[in-house]
Amino acid sequence: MKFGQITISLVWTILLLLALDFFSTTISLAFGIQHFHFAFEVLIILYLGFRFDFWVLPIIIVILMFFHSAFSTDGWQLGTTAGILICMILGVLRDLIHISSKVSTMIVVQLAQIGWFVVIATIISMKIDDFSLLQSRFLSFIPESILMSLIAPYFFVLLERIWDRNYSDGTQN
Amino acid sequence: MNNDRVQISKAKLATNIIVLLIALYGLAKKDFTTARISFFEQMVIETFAPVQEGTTLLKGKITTFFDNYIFIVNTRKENTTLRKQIKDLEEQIFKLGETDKENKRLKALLRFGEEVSFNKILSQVIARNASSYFKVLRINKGSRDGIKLKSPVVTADGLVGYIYRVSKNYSDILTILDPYNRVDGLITRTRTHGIVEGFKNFTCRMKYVIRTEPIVKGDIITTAGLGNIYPKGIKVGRIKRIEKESYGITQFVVLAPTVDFHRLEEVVVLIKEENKIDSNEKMSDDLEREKM
Repeated sequence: MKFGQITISLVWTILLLLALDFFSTTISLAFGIQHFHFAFEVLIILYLGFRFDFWVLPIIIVILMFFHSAFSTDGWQLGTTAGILICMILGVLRDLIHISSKVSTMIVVQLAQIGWFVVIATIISMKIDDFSLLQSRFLSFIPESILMSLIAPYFFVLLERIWDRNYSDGTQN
Repeated sequence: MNNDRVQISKAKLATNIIVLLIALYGLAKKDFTTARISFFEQMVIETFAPVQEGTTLLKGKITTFFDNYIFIVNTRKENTTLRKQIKDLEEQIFKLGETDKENKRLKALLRFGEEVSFNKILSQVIARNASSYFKVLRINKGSRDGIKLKSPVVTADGLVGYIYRVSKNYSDILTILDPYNRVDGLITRTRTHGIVEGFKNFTCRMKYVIRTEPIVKGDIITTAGLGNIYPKGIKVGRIKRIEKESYGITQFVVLAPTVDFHRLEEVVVLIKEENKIDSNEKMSDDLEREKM
């Protein structure tokens, strides 16, 4: 992909992320959804990690997390750390992961989300010196992550349109 | 061709490592208890927070319409009950007023320390945090309205948290449900001290409570006034569960906050206004005026 194409796709992705963050912080609260959080930024970064192998991918992750930090107190640092680590692992396992169906997409996304959770929760637990957070957060993380895994294949179709790729051809760059 | 691929792989690895190291450095420096806002963050917040505010206001108007005009069931009965409650409360306020005057006189006599009064700024909750790891709320008042970092936030029911991040027109509150927010707590019945922090499922826990302390379920916890953030005497929660293990010197206390975070719509931010006049002189002046 050329640099110009990447920039345009990134701008659209940022707008999509901001709209989804607005939904998860305001609209869902207006409908009384207090206990559920929708981690759309994780899905976006997982999609980019699965599909692309650019050298600018870490910079794209930083930019996305920077915009996300306006709606979140995590800060860009936490999401960037988790995103880069997970994308590096995905880069190594790329040849082994075959996303050929919706079910396989859901399973792989679920496993990647668990990895993401472990990184973030471990860092936060180390910061507050209390590892019981891992256990308590994991129980609320499971239903949230299952929902995100279920919508992942359909969400990836939308991202495919933004990043201008054929979903079924499986080519990398 | 192979050389190009090797070069590209090296570039990818190098970028990953450099960005990761920068992120880890930023993480090490990051303070999760307060956030100094950058110009860029301010710009994004000021652009999107009005949309959040508009949506919340619209939802409020729709809810009010349904409550006031559609679901007016038992309104008259509720009205009568509330009128009686108001009368009882007015009587209590009068009695407390007398107690307050006596308190001031006695403090003057004992030559108590410097008093700090607070300005109160009423704000509406317009959004919550996008992350599930932090319990943060956004309100529609910012530095332009006088909001300062680390200002305590309360409601009539009790303590909500403190101001964590401030932009020009909006602020974020780190609530007591968050594990990063630590409140110096005092169990009012036994005068036992401890530290209250966010736990799970909209509850808090109180740590460092000695296991020999005779606390019971239902005991009320208020702020102890230590720690320079929260003034003394604000209700924090009520003990919901106590666990004592067979070892250790402390007991595990879970409390339910007195504030209903599921229905929180408006909050009051307390802005400290330090009184530079000697409190003794002020007390004496007050006494003189009362005599007259």
